[in-house]
Amino acid sequence: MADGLFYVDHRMPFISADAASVTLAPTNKAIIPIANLPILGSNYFNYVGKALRIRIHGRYINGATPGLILYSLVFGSGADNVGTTLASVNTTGIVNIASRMWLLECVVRCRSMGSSGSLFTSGLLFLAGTGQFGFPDATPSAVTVDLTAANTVITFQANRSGSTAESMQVHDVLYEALN
Amino acid sequence: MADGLFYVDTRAPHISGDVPSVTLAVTNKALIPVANIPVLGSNYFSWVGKAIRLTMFGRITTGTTPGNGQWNIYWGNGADANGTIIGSSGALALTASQTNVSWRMETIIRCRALGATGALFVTGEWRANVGVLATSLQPALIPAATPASVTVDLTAASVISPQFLRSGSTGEAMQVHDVMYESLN
Repeated sequence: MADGLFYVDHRMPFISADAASVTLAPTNKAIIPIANLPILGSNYFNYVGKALRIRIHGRYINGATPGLILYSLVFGSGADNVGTTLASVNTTGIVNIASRMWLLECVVRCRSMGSSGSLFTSGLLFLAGTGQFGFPDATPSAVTVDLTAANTVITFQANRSGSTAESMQVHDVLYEALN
Repeated sequence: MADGLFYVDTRAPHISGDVPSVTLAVTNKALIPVANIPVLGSNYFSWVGKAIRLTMFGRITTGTTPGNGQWNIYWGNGADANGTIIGSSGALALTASQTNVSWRMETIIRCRALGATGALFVTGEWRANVGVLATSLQPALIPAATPASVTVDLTAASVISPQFLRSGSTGEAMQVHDVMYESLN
C-alpha cells in the first residue's frame, strides 16, 4: 500500500499524437505546444520542496551548419522565447543528421515561494550521437521566478546558432507531480 | 499534496528475488517470466494517453563473439518472440568477454488508439556499464530513430514483455534483478 498522501500523479493533458515539428532559429522556439502542457496556475508551487518530474522524448534533424544547439527548460507563458530559463545545455550540433533521438529527464523543485520564488532544476539530457549531459551542464543553481504568476507552464525550448534547416519534434511528454 | 487523481501506482506482482538468467539467442528471448509481469486484462488501455512505465535493472555476460544486441518490447503472451513488437532499440555492438556487468532500462508505453485496432507508442532508453556498451553507443534510446505507434489488439488480455536478442554465437546471458511496472494514470 502507499505510504501516504504525497503520491505521484500524472498531470494532464496526456499526449496522444506527435507534436508538430518545429523549425529552429537563432532565438528560442517552443518545442512543445501549450496544448500539450499542464497549466500550473498561480502559486502552484505552494510549499518549499514541491517538485515536478518532467520527461520529454523527441527527435532532431540537422542541416549542414547547425552551429551550437541550445536546449533550455523555460518557465513562462509557453510562447517562443518568452520566460525565464531554469536550466540549459549548449552543445555543438552534429551536421547533416536525418533523425536522431533525444530524451530529457529532470526534476524541478521549489526552493522558495511567492513573487520572488525560486526553482531548482536537476536532470539529464541524452542526445543520441552526442552523449549524455547533466541538466544543467554546469553550475546548478536556483533561479528566481514569480511563482504567483498565473497561466504559467514549464516548457522546453531550443535554438541554433547556425543557418540551416534544423528542426525538432516531440513524441512523448510526461509531467508528474511528485508531491 | 498531490495534484489530482491520476496517481502513479506500482503494479503487482512485486519482484522479491532474481528471475532466472536467460541465455540469449539470435531470436528474441523474454527476460522476465510471465509470473513476474502484470497481466493487464482486456481493454486495460481504456483511454488515449494512458501510459505504463517499465523499469528494469539487470546484468549481462558476453562471450567472445556476442555480435549486436537489440531490445524488443512485445505486446503478447510473454513467451519468447510471441506477439507484436511495439518498440525496439537499434542493433548495438556488445563488447566481448564481459562478466555480470550491470544495465538499466526504462521505457514508457503509451496508448494512442483504443480497441481491436489500438495503438501503443514506446519511448525509452538503455543504459549499460561501459564495459559492455561503449560510450560512443550511449545513450541508447528506444527507438533509435523515427518513433511510430504500432497497431495491436488492445482488447486482448496481453502483457508487455521486454525481450532481447543478440547476433553473435557465444554464451551470452542476461538476468533481471529488479523490475517495476507503474501505471502512470
